[in-house]
Amino acid sequence: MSNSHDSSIRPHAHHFDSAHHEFESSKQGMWLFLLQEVLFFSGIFVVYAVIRGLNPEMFAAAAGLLDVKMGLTNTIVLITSSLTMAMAVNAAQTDKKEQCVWYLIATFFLACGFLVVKYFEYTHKFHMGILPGAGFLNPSDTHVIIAQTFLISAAALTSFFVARSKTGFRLSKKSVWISILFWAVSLYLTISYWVGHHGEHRVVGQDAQNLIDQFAKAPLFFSVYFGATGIHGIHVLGGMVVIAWLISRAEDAEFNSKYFTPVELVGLYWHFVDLVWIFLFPLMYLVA
Amino acid sequence: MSDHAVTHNEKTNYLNHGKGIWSWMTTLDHKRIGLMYLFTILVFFLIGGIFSLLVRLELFTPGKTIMDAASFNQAFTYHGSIMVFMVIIPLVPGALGNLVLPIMLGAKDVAFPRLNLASYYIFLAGALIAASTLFLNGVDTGWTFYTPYSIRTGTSAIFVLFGAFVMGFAGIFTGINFIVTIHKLRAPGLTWGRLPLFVWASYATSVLQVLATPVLAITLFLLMFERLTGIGIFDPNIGGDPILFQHFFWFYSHPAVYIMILPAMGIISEVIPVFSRKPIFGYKAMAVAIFGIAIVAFVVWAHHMYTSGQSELANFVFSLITMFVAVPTGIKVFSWIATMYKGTIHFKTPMLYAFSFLWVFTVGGLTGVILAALATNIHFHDTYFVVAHFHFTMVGGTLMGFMAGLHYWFPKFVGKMYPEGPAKISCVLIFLGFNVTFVPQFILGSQGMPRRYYDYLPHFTTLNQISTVGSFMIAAGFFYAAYYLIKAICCGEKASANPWRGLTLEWQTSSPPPHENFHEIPVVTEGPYEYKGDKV
Repeated sequence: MSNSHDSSIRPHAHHFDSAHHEFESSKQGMWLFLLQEVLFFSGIFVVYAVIRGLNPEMFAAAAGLLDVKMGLTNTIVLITSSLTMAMAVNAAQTDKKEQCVWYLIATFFLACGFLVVKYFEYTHKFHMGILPGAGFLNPSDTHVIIAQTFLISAAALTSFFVARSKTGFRLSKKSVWISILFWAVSLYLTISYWVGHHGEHRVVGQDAQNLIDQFAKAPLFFSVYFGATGIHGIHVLGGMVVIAWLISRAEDAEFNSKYFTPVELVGLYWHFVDLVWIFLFPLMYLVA
Repeated sequence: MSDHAVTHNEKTNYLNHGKGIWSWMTTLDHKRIGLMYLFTILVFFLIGGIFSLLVRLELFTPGKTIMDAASFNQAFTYHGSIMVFMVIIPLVPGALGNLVLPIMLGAKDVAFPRLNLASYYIFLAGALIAASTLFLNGVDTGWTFYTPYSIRTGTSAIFVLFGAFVMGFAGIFTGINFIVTIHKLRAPGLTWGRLPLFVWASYATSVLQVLATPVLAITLFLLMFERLTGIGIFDPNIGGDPILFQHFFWFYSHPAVYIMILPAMGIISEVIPVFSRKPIFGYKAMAVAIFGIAIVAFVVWAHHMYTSGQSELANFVFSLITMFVAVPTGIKVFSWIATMYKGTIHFKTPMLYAFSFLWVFTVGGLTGVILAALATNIHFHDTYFVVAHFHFTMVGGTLMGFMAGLHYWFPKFVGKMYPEGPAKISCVLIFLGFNVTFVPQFILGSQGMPRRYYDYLPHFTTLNQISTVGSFMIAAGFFYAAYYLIKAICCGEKASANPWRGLTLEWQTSSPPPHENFHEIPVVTEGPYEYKGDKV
């Protein structure tokens, strides 16, 4: 793309004075975006505070139905992914292209792992009849359809961004295989649900029944749980799409010590997503 | 100071740089994006305006006049939702802000031009999603979507909620863009202390958009999922709390009204010094007052909820804090008046709209104090007094401020002058029509006529009829404005680079500006309001 004699220097946009000026401005923009994300998640934390404040015993009892081991696994997975993301940023900053690509791939797979654990957690809950609000012991497919829509959309977006890279859709690119894998997993999860498990989840779980017998408002806990972790999960999914795009660009040698802005900005976003989970985990899983 | 702008080839400017519809649809030029926002929003203004005329026609007589009660609920819901989300909130930042702000800063563009274009398409997509409900089951909840009715209603509420959710992101991205532009892209010599007040106002508005809009996003998100999957957080049937919805909703929607008014106040602060040939009175206090208003905006939301059953302590605290917003607002109104004192007033259309603003917004603000007081609010809550109050501030404030800015900057961005005579007639028609429409509503409210009511007691008829007549006067004024503005765009008299002898940077480039805003980036050596009467 660059016609200058040094092909590693990407020209900065015309309205900035220098590449440094552009970088500092882009960072400021990303921090402002993260600021509004804080306000967004604050809303769900306020809902948590209000419902827990008014129903402390119900909350503690309902939280007992969550699987702390899976939550803890997810916490470790996500923190590790933040580490690999930071390593990827560092690699970009120090001209280590291959390292950058592999650390981004590692981050992608760890994020994937997070969502896989979440998938098992959620489907186990649906099995037990635990769904948010009015769906409690009254399951419907709407929730599953919504989740699958997000998954398929993410797969589609990933392929779109990966295909749009400088070198296009080449099977020699790792990012292309990642996007194919993403499609494969998404389609498998979607189709296997409708073929295999459809109808199977209409089971009245004893734990859920006991809980609602004791606390009529117990479904509210799960509204908060699914609402908060669901919204967080959507942010993880979005992050994965963007990371796949970064892998594609990194493979095309677009990042180096003179220009690593996208890696840095996605890194900031990813650390934020990790931070939200670090708040969510103890507040949801450790209050039983 | 303005002569060097006209020596370059004036044939090429941002309007003819790049031909064809694709060059517009994929433009990264903030000026073109501003125009796209302007035209899109004006279309929605027409639709929202038609709904207002339908509402006023129905209220011409008690009982059924032209529609049944269910349709009436839809009419006022569409009027409110369209005007709030698709017109008043995006209008000044999206249209005038995009056009003017970078040039006022001496920049070549906003910080993130691609994000700017994305913002426009996100806005358009959200607006179309919401508007699609006109062809589905409509929506009848009122623009405030209070639960539990918004959960139960059989109408297509979910698309309006989703549309508003999407449109919110346009506002957030515009806010981010403006903040970074103001921080990072100022011309040499343009220190913080020399920023025009329109820039300060845009900055504060952008901060409000970034901080408040995400709360609307989570509120609408939770309500959408409530309708889709019954999560029940706001539904009393499952143990949820409808008052929690109101708290969430107003936590955004109160700052939203300051998002609406602050940019308009910024425009007034530009217009009055130019047309009084005097520096703005109390520049520092004016800038601080902008932020005073923005801060108080965040802590008064529950003054919309005095009768919701919340505690007396909450009522007391919110009433007290609400009173405080009058202080910075009063500083601004008195400073504008002090600016004009001993100035040389030029009664051009922008200045006439500024005068209109001063009257209409002050009445709106003073009636806000009446509503802030607990004792009077109990009687006026949900009556026409409230309706009149917010129309005085939103129409009188934002819309008249916008009209001042539209006429002020029209020569700059079109390169032609609007005709002064017709413009003045239109302004007077809108101003008179506005008062005829809404002053009777204060009286109706104080006499007890509830808002959002399809029917009313017979003794309210005369005032309702006067109000309806007024609404058609406003419509006539705006249609006339559309007529002479379109005529001016096609065949108006050519405008010079600086017809108003303004000192802010946008007047130091040609009319219309070139694609890159300036042929030579200006260097700023003094404040923006150093007017010295008519001699300069």
